[in-house]
Formats: sequence, structure tokens, C-alpha cells
Amino acid sequence: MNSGQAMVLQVDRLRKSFGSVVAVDGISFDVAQGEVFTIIGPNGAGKTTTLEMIEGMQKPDDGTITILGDSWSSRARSIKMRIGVQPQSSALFDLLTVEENLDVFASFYERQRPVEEIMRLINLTDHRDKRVKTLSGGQKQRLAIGLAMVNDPEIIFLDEPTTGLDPQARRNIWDIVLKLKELGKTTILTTHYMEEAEKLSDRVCIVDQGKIIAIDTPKALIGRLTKEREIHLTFTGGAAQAAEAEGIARTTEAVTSVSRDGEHLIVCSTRPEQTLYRLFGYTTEQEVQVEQVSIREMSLEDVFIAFTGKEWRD
Amino acid sequence: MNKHGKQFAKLFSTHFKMTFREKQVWFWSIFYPVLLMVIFMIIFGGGSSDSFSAKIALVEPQGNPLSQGLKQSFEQVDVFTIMDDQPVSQDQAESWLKDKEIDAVIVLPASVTDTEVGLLMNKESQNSTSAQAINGILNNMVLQANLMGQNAEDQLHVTADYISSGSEKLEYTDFILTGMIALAISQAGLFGMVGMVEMRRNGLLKRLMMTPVSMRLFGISNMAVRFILSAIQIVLLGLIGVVAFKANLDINLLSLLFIFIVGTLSFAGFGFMIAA
Repeated sequence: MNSGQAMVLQVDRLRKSFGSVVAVDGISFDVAQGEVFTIIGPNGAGKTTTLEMIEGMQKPDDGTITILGDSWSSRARSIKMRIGVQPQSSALFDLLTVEENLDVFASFYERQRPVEEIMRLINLTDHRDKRVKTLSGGQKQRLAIGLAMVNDPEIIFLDEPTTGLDPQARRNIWDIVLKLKELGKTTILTTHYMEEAEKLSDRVCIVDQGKIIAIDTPKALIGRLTKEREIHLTFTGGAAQAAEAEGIARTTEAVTSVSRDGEHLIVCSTRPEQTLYRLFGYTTEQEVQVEQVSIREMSLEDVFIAFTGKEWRD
Repeated sequence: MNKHGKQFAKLFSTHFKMTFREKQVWFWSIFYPVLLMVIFMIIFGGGSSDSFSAKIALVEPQGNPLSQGLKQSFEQVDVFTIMDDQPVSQDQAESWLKDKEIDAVIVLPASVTDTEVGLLMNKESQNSTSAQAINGILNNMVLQANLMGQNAEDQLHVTADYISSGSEKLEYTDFILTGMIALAISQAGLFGMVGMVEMRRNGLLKRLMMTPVSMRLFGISNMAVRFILSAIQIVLLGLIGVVAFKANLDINLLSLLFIFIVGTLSFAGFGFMIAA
């Protein structure tokens, strides 16, 4: 994957246990320059522990981490200068204003990105003089991401940046991540929202019980699943027309199953285009009106279920 | 060096804002010690004075040269304040005594030949120091009068003087003032401790460790703000104590400075120990 690009992060057979609980059990992956890499998994899968080991906050029991060509044991300060971290708990100076927070954090680094520019990027320019205490959850989270960008880092780590936020606030965070991508930053992100991983990432790493289950682009992961798609049709003419269409669908090639609920018809097909062509041929001929048509795309959720055999719980 | 200086200035201003924007700090570190001191000063400071004094009433059943002479000598005794500045009736005097408006009633001799000088005091306070003092003073005065009456001079007399071990006379207000300053220093230290524990709890310390910031500079700048807070407390309490309550700020400055630094550092140290 991305063989032409330089690897900015290499994680090799990482292992960490707390007492008898194995939190991370032999995780290995590489991240290329400019990639948005998402580690996804249910709560307690080992996402945060993995991330904290990479960020230098926890010592792995076993395995190696090479980050921007350096290792934590030899060049910790140099690594800290070049990475940006947003931890899960948004830790901020809550009696300081947005601008003051950014200012203090910027003073820690040799290299800095202008505070003005960061406030624009995280869309907090209007709230620059507001104390953190008075900000909303989403605004705090954006500031925490802003703090991870003050040194114009080469790699940014975002640990569950959208957990606990409302849909609008989540979308705002997504915008920031996409802007970071435009800036060519390498972003490593954890989440337990499948939708988010699908939307933002170049590559997704699915983790469960401390092990990597699958690692690939969202598209490829979904592609690895069966090609079968669900087609949903709703008929204006009611149950009778739907029943007739059901008969047609059953005799169509590549259809694996058909079910009907009143005027609503669900057809599963391994070649959905062909199936739809056949069905629409029939409706045009009979002048039957179709109210709604949809094809449900497979999501990473289906991937998770397919790979682990478990239900996905948000 | 310059880089460290700049970082220190930023961290210092951060701690400064974090401390002085916290309303609790204003209340517990500034308002509370001042309030406590004012209350203590008012309650305990008022009664203390350098000398003993007592309120008495004189009863003169019948004017005569002897009673006149004694009356004059009572008026000359500074420690006695005579109610109404003149003799009153026995009934009036006794009712004052019952109400504890006065400490004692002195009944002057009714005639030149009468040898009795009556002393009435409240039964409930018969064991108090003031009762004993009044008794002593009165006995002494009668003895003097006796000697004078016999034209004899006393051969011996006792001169008593008390030497204080302090550099000057120490009053209760002085103790309150120094006590409050000590309390304020520990209070400020304690508060810094709470702030540090809070930073640890909400993950801010951990977050800072993810940055290349020098945690040593962070600690030093925190202590610098702590020193400022303590200095404000000392100056404020000292001023209020001296100006409003006339307390003596009779403190060895060098030892105050020593206690101030050691006190502030040790409380800040506790904070770091708990937070670490």
C-alpha cells in the first residue's frame, strides 16, 4: 500500500497488557505521508492504548515504534516537536480564552503555525476571547484539535474527536480533518463510528480485542464482502402491483432472495444493475408507477459484522 | 536562555491568569483570611489594654473631712473610674453592682471617728482578678491613709516592674495578625495544591507531557505565582491589622522572609507530590 510514499509511522508487533488483560496483542501497521489512517473498533478494543503507545505516553511491553524515523527511547523531544496530539479527554486551561490557550501551547514549540490561521481553521475566530469554560462541547473539541496543530506537526493524532458530540458538531470536526488532509498532513484517528471512518479515511484498520481484524481502504474492505446488494422498491399502486413485480423478480437471473411487505418489495441481487433493468422494463411496459427506489450500500458496519461475526454496537 | 525566558513568561502569565481568574482563590485566599482576622480582632482585640482598670461607685453616707480626703485620693487613682463622678446613694450603687455595671462599691466612713471603709463587690466575681486587685488597691490606700494619720512614713516599700520577654509589649491583636499571616500562607499553598490535583484529574498535566514543554519551568512558574499570592496576603493583612486595629507588626523581617519562602515552597511541594 502506498509503496511510492515515505512511511512516517511504522508500528511493529506492538503488545501491551494490564495485569492479566491483554489490551494490545501484536498490532503492526505502517502509515504513509499524507494519509488519513483510522483505527476503528468497539469500546475496549485497544484503540486508545495503541495510540498512547505511539504518542509516547505508555511504554509497550513488546514491539517497536518508529515515528518520523526516530524512536521514543532515543529522541523523545524531537518527536514531540514534530507531532500534534489531541487526547480523548479535552484537557484545556479552562480559565483561559481560546486565543490564550493556543498562545501558551504555541510557546512550547520551536516551529509554529500562526494562531490566527489555526482559529480560522477550527472556526473559532469569533470566540477567540471567550474562556474555555463557557464553550460548548463541540467548540472545546475543536480547540483541542487546534492545540494539536499549533506546531504545524507532520503527524496529528486525534483520539475519538467526535465521541459525545451532536451530528452538526461532528460534521464540523470532519471538515477540519478534511482540511488537514488538504494541507497534506498525516492524520491518525480513532473512532467507533463506522460512518466517520468511511467518510474520512484513506485506510481503515479494524481492531477488536487487541488484534487487527482487517486493514485496507474503506472501499476495498467493503469490496471484499459479497457483491450482493439490497434493492428496495415501493409501488404507488399498492400491494397488488408489488405482488406482480415480486413474481417478475423471482424469475430474474442473479436474484438471491425476494421479500415483500405490502407495497414494499425487497430484492437481493448479486447483479443489481441487471435486476433493476429487468424490473423497470416491466414497470414501463405495464405503466406501473414506482414511488421509491433505493439500493442499500454495504458499509464498514457490514464489514465489521462479516469479519468478526459480531453485532456492531455504537 | 532567551527561549527559556520567553517560555517562562508565557507559563507564568498562564498560571497567573488561572489563579486570579478563579473566584474561589479570591474568596479563600484573600477575602476569607481578612474576614477572619477582622472578626477575631473585633472579638478579642477590644478587651486588651496595657493596664488594669475598674469602674467603681462611691457612697458617702455623711460628708466629713476623712471621707472628703479619701474621695479625693480615689479620684486621683487612675485605675478607678468613678461612676457619675460623684458619690451616689447606697441603693443606687448596689443596683449597679447587681447589674454588673460597676466592679465595686466603696462606702466611705460616715464620720471622722468611723474607721470602716466598706467594699462591696459582686459575689459572682469574687474570685476574679479584678476583685483581688481592687481589694489590694483599697487596702493599700487605707494603709497609706492610716500611716498619714499617724504621721509616720513607711520604711519599706515594694517597687514592682514587669519585664516582657518580647522586644516590645505584645498584645493579642499582634498574635492574631501573625497567626492570620501564617494561615494565609498555608491557605494559598493548599489552594495551589488543589489546582495541581485538578490539572492532573482533568488530564491537563498528561496533555502537557505530550508537548516538549519543560515541566520544571512549569513548576517554577507555578510557584512564582504562589509567591505573589502569599505576598499580597501578607501586605493586605499587615496593612489592615496595623492601620485598622493598631496591631504591632513587630516581626523580624529576615525570619518572616524565611518562613514565607519555606512555607510557600513546602505547601507547593505537597501539591506536586500529590499531583505527581
